[in-house]
Amino acid sequence: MRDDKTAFGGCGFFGGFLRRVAVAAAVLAVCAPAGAEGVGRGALLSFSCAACHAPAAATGNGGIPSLEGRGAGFIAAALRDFQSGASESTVMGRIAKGYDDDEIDAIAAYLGRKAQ
Amino acid sequence: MKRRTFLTAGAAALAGSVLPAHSARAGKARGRVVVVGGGFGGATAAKYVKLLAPEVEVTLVEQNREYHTCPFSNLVLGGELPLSGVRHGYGALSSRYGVRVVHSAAAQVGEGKVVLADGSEVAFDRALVSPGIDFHFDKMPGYSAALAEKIPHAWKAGAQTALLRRQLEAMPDGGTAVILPPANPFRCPPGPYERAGMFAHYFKKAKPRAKVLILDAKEKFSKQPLFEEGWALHYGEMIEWRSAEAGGKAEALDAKTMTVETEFGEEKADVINYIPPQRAGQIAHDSGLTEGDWCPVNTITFESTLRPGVHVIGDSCVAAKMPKSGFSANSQGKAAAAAIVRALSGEEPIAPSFANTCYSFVTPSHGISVAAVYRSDGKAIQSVEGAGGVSPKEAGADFRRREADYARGWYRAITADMFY
Ligand SMILES: Cc1cc2nc3c(=O)[nH]c(=O)nc-3n(C[C@H](O)[C@H](O)[C@H](O)COP(=O)(O)OP(=O)(O)OC[C@H]3O[C@@H](n4cnc5c(N)ncnc54)[C@H](O)[C@@H]3O)c2cc1C
Repeated sequence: MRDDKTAFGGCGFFGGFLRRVAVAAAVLAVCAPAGAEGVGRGALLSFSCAACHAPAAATGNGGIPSLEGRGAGFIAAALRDFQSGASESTVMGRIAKGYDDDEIDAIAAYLGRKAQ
Repeated sequence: MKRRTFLTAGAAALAGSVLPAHSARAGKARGRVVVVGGGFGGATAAKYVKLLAPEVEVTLVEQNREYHTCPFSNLVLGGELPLSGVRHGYGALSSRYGVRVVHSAAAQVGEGKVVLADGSEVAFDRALVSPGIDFHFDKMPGYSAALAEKIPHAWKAGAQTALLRRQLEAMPDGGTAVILPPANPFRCPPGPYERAGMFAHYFKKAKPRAKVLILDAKEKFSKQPLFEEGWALHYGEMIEWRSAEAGGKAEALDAKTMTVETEFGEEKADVINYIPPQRAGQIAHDSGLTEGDWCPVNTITFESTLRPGVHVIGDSCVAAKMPKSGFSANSQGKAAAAAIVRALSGEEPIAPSFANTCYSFVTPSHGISVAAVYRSDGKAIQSVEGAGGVSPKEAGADFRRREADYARGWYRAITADMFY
């Protein structure tokens, strides 16, 4: 936005998705309402997810779904299905196996915290 | 942008958002944090400290005005992307997140202050250093830092990437491009082999009689069976890999005659891509943060074990078994941001978990990956048993295409997480 020559600004490689990310990110940064978890365990377990799962506005043809709008129940079930192989996947099965039951619940509670 | 659009987008963005809500912040955290290096580690950490603790003053010291990602720079070499496709700016970090961005080289991390190249100082309560790598230019007879203009490493993206791309374009059909990967540990273990595929992808179209020769300092490499399967499938004999023992170990370079000397004889090349052995970024050495080539850290907080109050993340730090990757640096940036915010609020650190997925392209529509989940046991970072691993062999074209698509999705997500 600031700079037409950056990847998202001008060359068209990823289309003009930056503008939409900007909106989502700005809103997250300034408008998110209070929650109680602090910089806690659920947050620390969940931070890695953002390296692949972008805000909805930033996802494109890449096919990695955004987690926005997903409740804790959905996320916990999805992780358990990837872990057991009930859901077919490329990489999520390999990743979900890295978390125990309790951690899956903590991740789901954190990511799903605004959906209740 | 109209206010209403903001609010609608915002409401949708809240649930399932991985970004911490401002509320997740530690309310009491106050102080000054200086981050040196605005790459995968530093840009992420600067942004997350602000998200977690908006009252904390964060200054990011980065020598360049634009950042070129190494991830996807091999696609630039393969002619699939312009260099601008891997270029990012720092505007949003300052305008949207309130990070003070100072474009200057940092000379040293002193006691309670970072000294900039012009002698001015930025005071801190906590510092975080993520300067990436620098090279050992003196380990290969016949090579020097100055020769990187003739024999590019392209292991920092930007001008070096553009130079190597021009050399590939100028290469005659029937020519040979030699890649010389370093021994472990080095930045991006699968990177040289992804690069070989991207060279071949370009040659197949533009110079079908050209060859890619990899003369390796190692006996094996990351995702090897998957790379070899993919190379055979798409490029036939075009790519040849020689292990160190099979005559791959280079003993000297001659830039004038463009030859590589190995134990088994001389190899003539049209393009040489020598990737020198690596060490922590220079500023880490100049600031008393290194032991040997790299920076030892507490693997929960990434605080230096040599200098309290100074954290080191990314390629520069010792975080084995995590690989030196952008994904790792991003993951460590968030853990370190949380540790810094907790420390500034007088709270005990809590153990983070880390993840890494390294995607590589064999062709632009054939992707492969290696993934792992990591925990610190307080001493070292271990991969969680039973998790992770590489893509299956013989998985079929559809699986490979999906992984190539996911690689692009990953690139968007992680650069958004860092910069936007
Ligand atoms: C060809 C290639 C492909 C790759 N592909 C992938 C991939 O697909 N996935 C992946 O996860 N990783 C990949 N990587 C690895 C990834 O690029 C690095 O691991 C990552 O950049 C490390 O982040 P960092 O923060 O440690 O360093 P960097 O990202 O290099 O950032 C360091 C920053 O510090 C700045 N700096 C240094 N010293 C100073 C100073 N004294 N003052 C001011 N600023 C300073 C530099 O200008 C730079 O901006 C790849 C690497 C290569 C070479």
